[in-house]
Amino acid sequence: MNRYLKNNLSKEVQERLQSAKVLICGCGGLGSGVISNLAGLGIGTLGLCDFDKVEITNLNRQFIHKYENIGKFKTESAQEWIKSYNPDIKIKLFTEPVKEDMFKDFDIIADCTDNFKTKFQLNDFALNTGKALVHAGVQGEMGQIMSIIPHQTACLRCVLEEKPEETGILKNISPIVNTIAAIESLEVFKLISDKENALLNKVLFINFKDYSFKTIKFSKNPHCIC
Amino acid sequence: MHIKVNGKPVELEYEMTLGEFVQDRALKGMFAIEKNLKIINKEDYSTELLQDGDSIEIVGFVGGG
Repeated sequence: MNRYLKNNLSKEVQERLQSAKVLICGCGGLGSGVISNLAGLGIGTLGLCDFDKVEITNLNRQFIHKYENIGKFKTESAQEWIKSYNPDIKIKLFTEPVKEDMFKDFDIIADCTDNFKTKFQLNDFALNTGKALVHAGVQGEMGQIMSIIPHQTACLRCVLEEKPEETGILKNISPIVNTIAAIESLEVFKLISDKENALLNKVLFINFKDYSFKTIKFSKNPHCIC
Repeated sequence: MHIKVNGKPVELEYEMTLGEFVQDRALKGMFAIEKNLKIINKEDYSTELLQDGDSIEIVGFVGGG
């Protein structure tokens, strides 16, 4: 356990991390940061779900994917990084679109996807399976994070109406993407070790333009399907 | 009638509901609205009346990753 000495956590908490199983949906911008942070913390089992391949345009912010892995599936590239960094971690690969059935072997789902359609889908899979979900989104200079304990705390549909998505290429720089990924990883850690202080029934919004952090409280919406 | 929107003073020409305000401002994308520190459910926008001195906060959600 010397590897985790500087985590300076109690033996009980470090063991909880070791026995935790986290499914990371999306191994791109947010996913790369979440994978490296959770590997560092000592999460015992990581599930990796993505069907994209590594492209050169990913390399400005997705540091776990190496130049020589361009063209490889992101799941395989991420697995390679994890094995080289922390060979004790058990890995399960899902090189396909996310399915509800994948949730069953995991305790927590980290939403690292890059579109609202899939984010709402993950929310609904979490509601159906009862698995805790950490939602995050990042675009341009904005980002938000919230955690969801299905049927107990506000879900994504409680706070947002699903609408057709507007697309466009925005600034996508590594310090911003990786800051949101780091906080998303911290939320996974809190759900395992310190649930009372997690972002439950609240959303943290960060505007990197002026460094404003705002936490807004939400409650379960009585009109929501959850 | 004066209200605050994201901390800035805004003058409304006539009394309106939150739903009318959203339409008037042509707010697009994914957002939630807090009025006087309380989140308003989207189902209630059409009946939630804005009043002088109200403070509303519009927070946008982004979908990238």
